[in-house]
Amino acid sequence: MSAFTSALHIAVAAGTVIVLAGLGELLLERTGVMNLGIEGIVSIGAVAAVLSALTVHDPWVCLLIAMAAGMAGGALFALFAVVLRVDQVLVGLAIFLIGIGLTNQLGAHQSNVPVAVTFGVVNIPGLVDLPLIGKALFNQPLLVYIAYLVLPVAATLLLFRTRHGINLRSVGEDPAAADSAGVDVTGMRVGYCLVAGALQAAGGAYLMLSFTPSFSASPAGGRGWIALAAVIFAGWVPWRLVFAALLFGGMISLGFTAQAQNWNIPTVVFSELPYVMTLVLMVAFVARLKLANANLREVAPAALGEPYFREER
Amino acid sequence: MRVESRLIPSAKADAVVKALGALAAMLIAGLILQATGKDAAYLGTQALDQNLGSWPQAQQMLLLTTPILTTALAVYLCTRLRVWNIGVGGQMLMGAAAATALGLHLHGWPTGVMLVTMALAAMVTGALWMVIPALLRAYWSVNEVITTLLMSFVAQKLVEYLATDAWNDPAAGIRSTPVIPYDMPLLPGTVLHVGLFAPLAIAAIMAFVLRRTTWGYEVDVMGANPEAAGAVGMPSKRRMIVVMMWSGAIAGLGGMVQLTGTLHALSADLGTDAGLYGFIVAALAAGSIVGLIVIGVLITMLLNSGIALATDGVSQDVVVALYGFILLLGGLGQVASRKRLVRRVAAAPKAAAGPSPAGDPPERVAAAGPVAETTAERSA
Repeated sequence: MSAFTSALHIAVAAGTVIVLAGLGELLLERTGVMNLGIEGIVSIGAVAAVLSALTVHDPWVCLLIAMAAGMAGGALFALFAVVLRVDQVLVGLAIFLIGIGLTNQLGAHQSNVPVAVTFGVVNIPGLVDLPLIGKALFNQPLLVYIAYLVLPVAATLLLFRTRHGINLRSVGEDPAAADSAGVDVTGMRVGYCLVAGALQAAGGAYLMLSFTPSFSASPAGGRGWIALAAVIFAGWVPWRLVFAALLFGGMISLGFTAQAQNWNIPTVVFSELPYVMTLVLMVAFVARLKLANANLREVAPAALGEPYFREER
Repeated sequence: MRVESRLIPSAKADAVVKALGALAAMLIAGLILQATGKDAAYLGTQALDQNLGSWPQAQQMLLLTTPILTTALAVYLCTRLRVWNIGVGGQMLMGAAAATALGLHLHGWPTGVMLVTMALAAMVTGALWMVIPALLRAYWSVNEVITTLLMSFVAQKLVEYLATDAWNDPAAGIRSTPVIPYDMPLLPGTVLHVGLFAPLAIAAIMAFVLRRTTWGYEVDVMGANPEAAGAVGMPSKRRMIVVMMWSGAIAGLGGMVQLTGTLHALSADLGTDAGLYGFIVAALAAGSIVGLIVIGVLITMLLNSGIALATDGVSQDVVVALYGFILLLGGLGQVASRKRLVRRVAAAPKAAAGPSPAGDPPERVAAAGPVAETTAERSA
């Protein structure tokens, strides 16, 4: 593999967790709910995958177990933030703390032990032989194709081509109107808390079952927070999230490549890069909106972060 | 008895439910520990002993309160405008880094002069670390939770680099700078440094400014009802930027106090945890500065217990998860403050409930009075 091909390969692999976790958050935020606890739920998914891999020998079963654990986290969030309507920022951070604390405690004995079960690579016939990009894009685990192609397409169709999607978005834009039109606001929001939990945990499971198959403390490593930012500079549009994830993956990949090629640039530059670039991209996105005389508030779901009190409308 | 909504949130219901929530979280943690074969009651007494068992132990606990209370106050200031400064740990680190830069590179200054210079530099650096999130939030409504947090990651990596590379001294260890030759003076006969009083001083100044000055009053109105504040001509955006930068400055000062009082060298392992704990304290305090100090000391004791319990095989991670549960259950206080129990009576009590039965959100009703007054003042 050429240096470019291997760098692109790593970029695609590193971005996968951002697509998975970000897509879950994107759908949830479209219903007007923001779960800041992504980092915690990604971690829970990671540790659930690692622990289940001790007894189960099929990576897909491990993935499902991790997703179930993520849904449990999503359910806890939904109970407090949607049903009881506690401030979403508070509940999200509580979920983050609970997730990180439990993950590090439960995974402590597996620290730096290689995970026995991992996803195999699936070659896409024909495409994998393309020069330069073939080995990078089409020599990945099945879950990567699902994350970059199947899920974003499915999410786009769901959001913009179905009645359910209209209801979903109306709950995020104007819950009172959706409610009077007969949409179950609470049900919709709780449901997508679970969906988001499952997808975010799948991102964590992917980390452990494919990307870096060995547990270390705080396995999400800030990626959950970056996914949160990615949703913003994707403008809450699924296919843009794919680009955001690839960009982020490219940033991570640069660090690896620099080390492999001995570029002689201080490592601090590369460890800062994902965070600085995420900030820069967010600013660039909003600046572009401003140039088009729009602003972020018009693009974001109008009811984002606000609990819905039926009796007060 | 039945439950009814309140128009004006009750602080008492909030506090009671919060305390119960925290107790419930500890009870859950105790049960889990018991279930995993640990003696929860023994661990509990160990934890209490670690904090208050003897005067030296109590001093160690008090030293821990300083960074937590300072960051909590920084977060608290922003919450007056409904802004969440989650990156407070990063601003604190940058404050510590600025103080380290001066301490390492300027030799032979009188300690007092140097400490003041360091404090100012730390405040400026902390405030500057908040500029980008503040501008983005005020002018472009970019969520400050994400931007402050990303800035805090940047700070963490930067401090790691400074401690392991740029300012590293192999003699001090591969992850630390040399010891800085300027220390906070100690209180006679103790290990406590005078920086201990910094959070109390900040709290007093903040309480005064917020309650007794026009500036503070306007901040409160803007937090309660941004539209109304804008309508009467208050400079909401400018004020928000200034408040957020002061928050960063307070956090930066906390970093400097921690550095010169307790740590004495910048280390790659500092992390942003103090900011996280400070955030929890401010979130639970829900608008009361006295409450913030009480909760801050309690949260510190919990953190300190974690350090003691580590020797009994209970890791710090359990304490982090416990914080999560406390925050989660403490959040129920918010719910409770909006409700009240009413004895079932025949007459409809709704008419007497408040000025607006149509049901504005409670905070709007609360703010309506002061805003109206301001309008009157301005037209007079």
